Amino acid sequence: MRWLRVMVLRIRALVSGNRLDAEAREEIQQHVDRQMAANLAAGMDAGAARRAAVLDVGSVAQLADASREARGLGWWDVLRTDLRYTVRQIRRRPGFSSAVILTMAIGVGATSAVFAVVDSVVLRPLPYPKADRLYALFEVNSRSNVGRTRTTPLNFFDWRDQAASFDGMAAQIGTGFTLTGRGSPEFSLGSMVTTDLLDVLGIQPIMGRTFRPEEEEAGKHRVAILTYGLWTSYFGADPSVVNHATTINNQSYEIVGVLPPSFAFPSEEYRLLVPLVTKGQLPGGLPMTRSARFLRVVGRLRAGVTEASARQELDAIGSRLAEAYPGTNDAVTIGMKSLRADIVGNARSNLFMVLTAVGFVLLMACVNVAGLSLARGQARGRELALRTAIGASRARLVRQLGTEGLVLFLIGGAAGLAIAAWVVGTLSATLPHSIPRVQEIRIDGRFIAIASAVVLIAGLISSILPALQVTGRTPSPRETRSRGVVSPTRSAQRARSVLLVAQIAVAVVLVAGASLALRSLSRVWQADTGFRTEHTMTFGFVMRDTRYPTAATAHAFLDRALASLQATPGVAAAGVTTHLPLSDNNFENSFTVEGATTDGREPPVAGLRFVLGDYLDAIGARVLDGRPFAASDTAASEPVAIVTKEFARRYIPSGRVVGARLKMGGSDSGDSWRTVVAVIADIRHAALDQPPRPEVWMPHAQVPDGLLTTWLRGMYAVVRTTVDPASSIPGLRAAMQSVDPELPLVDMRSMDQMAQSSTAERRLETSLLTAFASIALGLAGIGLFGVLAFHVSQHVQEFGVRLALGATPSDLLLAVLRRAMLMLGIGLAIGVPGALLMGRAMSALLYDVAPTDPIALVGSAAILIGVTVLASALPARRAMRTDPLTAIRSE
Amino acid sequence: MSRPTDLVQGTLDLLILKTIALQSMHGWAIAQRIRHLSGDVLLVQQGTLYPALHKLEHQGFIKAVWDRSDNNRRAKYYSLTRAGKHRLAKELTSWERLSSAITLVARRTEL
Repeated sequence: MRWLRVMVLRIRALVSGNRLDAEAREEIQQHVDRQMAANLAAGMDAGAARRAAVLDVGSVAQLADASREARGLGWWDVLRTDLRYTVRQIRRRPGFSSAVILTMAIGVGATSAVFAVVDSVVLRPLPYPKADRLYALFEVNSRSNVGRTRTTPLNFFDWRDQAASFDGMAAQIGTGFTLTGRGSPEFSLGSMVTTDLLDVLGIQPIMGRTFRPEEEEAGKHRVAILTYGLWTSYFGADPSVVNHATTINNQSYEIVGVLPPSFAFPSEEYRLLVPLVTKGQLPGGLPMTRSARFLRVVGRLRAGVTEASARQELDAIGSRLAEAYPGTNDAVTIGMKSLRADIVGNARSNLFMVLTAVGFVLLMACVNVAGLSLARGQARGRELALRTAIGASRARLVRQLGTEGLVLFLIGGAAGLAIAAWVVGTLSATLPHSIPRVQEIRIDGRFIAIASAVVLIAGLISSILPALQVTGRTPSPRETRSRGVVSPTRSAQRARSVLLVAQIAVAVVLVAGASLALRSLSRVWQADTGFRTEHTMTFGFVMRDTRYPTAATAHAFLDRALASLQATPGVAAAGVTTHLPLSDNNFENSFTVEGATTDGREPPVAGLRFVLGDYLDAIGARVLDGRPFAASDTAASEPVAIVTKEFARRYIPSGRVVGARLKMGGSDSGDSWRTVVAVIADIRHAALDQPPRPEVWMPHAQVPDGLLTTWLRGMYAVVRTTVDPASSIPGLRAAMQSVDPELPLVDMRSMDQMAQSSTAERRLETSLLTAFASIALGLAGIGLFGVLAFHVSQHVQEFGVRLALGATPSDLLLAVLRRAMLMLGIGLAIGVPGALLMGRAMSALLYDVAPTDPIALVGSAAILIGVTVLASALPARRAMRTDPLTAIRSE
Repeated sequence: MSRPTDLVQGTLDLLILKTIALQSMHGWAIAQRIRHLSGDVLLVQQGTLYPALHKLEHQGFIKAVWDRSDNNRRAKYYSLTRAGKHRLAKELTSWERLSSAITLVARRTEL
């Protein structure tokens, strides 16, 4: 029964606390009246009787407080009191409060922003139903340095028909489309896909329908599906486009559907889908063979089938095909990789490295706040001691200090989230699109939940721990009497020193990591790329097969375009190539070198580029030996080629490179022998930080016709300008328009811009890491300064006595410095091995720099020593200038 | 570890329970009764009496009703609940145990 009564009373207290307060006041007032009456009866005069009665009762307000607490409503009222008290404390110590808030804002802001990026790019599943069942499938060629390739159509059909482990398999190849009929012509990347691609991915159109199987037949293939992006940009989100015709590549296509915004396969840049024609012949259609590898394949693993058993099945299919078609498949096996891992690629390890770094920064911010709270708690020793003496329990004090810490922390955390939201907004707008899924980066409920958890946990750690530490001692009578600050206990000082050592160690690790990344970046910039980026403008264009159906028309168009570009004012040299360095476009083929024995070894594989005009001059390729291509290298003249130094080193063992002969494909291929006329410096084609691969260049005039009409329709023009490249753009556009007014120009950029975006990911990661290292360094410096300054202020008397006893000021200076150096030494001893681990963990970001790079390690240590000296300068000076008289007199 | 204040508080609870065991009383009367019973030795501060009363009430050991007092004024009368009676019996035993222990200690130091 008692619990029922208690409960009723509690509820009453909760809902009508004010009335109960009034009752309590009335009761006490009556008590005073009675006491007064008794006093009067005892013979006191009226004034004395009232005074005595009131004195006896004490403050009515205090009494009401006490009985409110007795009513068991404590926690709410205590919290209110604590909050009121906290606000007062924050106002009274603006320096301390803003230091804590700022530290936390930086810590939480940086962590949350980076987490949002990592979460969106790496952790979140792809936006398809049961996305973990989706796999990228590809051919793996065991010939030397070929490795993973795309898939040939005939192999893909066999895989699809034979593999029982998959619910479905679809193929895609990217291509360029020119959209006309709605304002100015627009070029867009798009995909030719097998009609079941959307079913395999599990995507439903938001309007219209998906493709039908019969639409893979030539003649029925003129249907198109728009991505949401293309629909909103080029078609103005017009809901009536479905079932209407539009003009794509000068042909009429019927739009049958519009995809949801989440669709981005293989990336958001591919904005249009048309069926891949697999049945019937199309002029200029893709070769349905077992030797041309161009399909990107995605498969959905059947429910209940494990990855391992699917691999087994694929291996079996691969070896069956190798046996059946030894000419094309003898070295080919089938590879599979989770689609997400395939898309995210090596952004993963670098992002995790950055996340680790930022976690360290958050940890340091917590440590710094904890340190500040400790110091603050010690400075408040007198107050706490007093409160303990008059009966506050330890739990009550911990709760008070904890509330103070948490409130500061929540303010800092909220500021941090605001910073994070701003950073994420900026990042997703500016991050290079080479980082996969960058468009998906955003702040959502999941992010806010995780960030809030981070704030709370960090807040608890950095406010409760110091509170426990500060209150975990009984106050001495001296403390309650002392007017000044109270000497901290040994354990409190040790706690701060330990925290500080941890900070120094973390700073060492991050500074070393940032040094390694910075040194890698400068090495990348110094690397010899084999081409020049200054004063060079480039753009791409696609020669549509409907407009230039034959090799002759394409050659004629290119010659006219080139002449027009060369005549443009400000142009020093103009050239055209099939594959531009840094353009994400590559084409590698096998070659045969005349006279080189390949028995037992695989034939050479090298990048193949067809160039025309003054391409070598325009791109700045350096001829090491021999002669550049000339206008006299035509279809009718002797076939020639230029090779890079790497090709010569690897594949022409005789050493007499100029004059050697080679051909595309195997020795029995239909290609004619081509004489090497020059060796050029190695070209870093894929990226500035990737080692150069062997390349073979040929005059565009000598492209086999079949290759030109099927493969080499996309071209890049490269122009070296005598003026600022950007100012040449209008002239270049006009020059191209005078040749073909309907030709869209794509990706008009300077080579400098391309070099920048080639290193964008690396620069982003390096600058993040450097920013974190700077923050860490600053935090460690401030922490060190705080501890030393506190130490000096606590020991003014001691210093005074020592001076009076004959110590010199420099002795005192040394004493302070020794203390700083001791902490630095321990911090370095922990941090340097940590830095070595960091170096190994970030190996993906290192370029031409060893994880143990002595310059980075010694440099980081030197930076830390510098910061330590700086941070101890002021406190040491203060110690040195101690005036013995004032010091001793100060108590 | 129990602190000295806890002991005082516990003792006051016992005194209150014992005082109102026979008849219900209002706060002032309780204070007066304790004072008289202890021969003016125990002066109960009102600052501790009312919080103690309210705590006991909210723990369910005593109940309170507003009633007319002798001088015809509204007053809050406290009396024991069933749980309070049990509590009193328990408190008394432990008080006796404790006070005999104190006496014992006192004697030994006297010797």
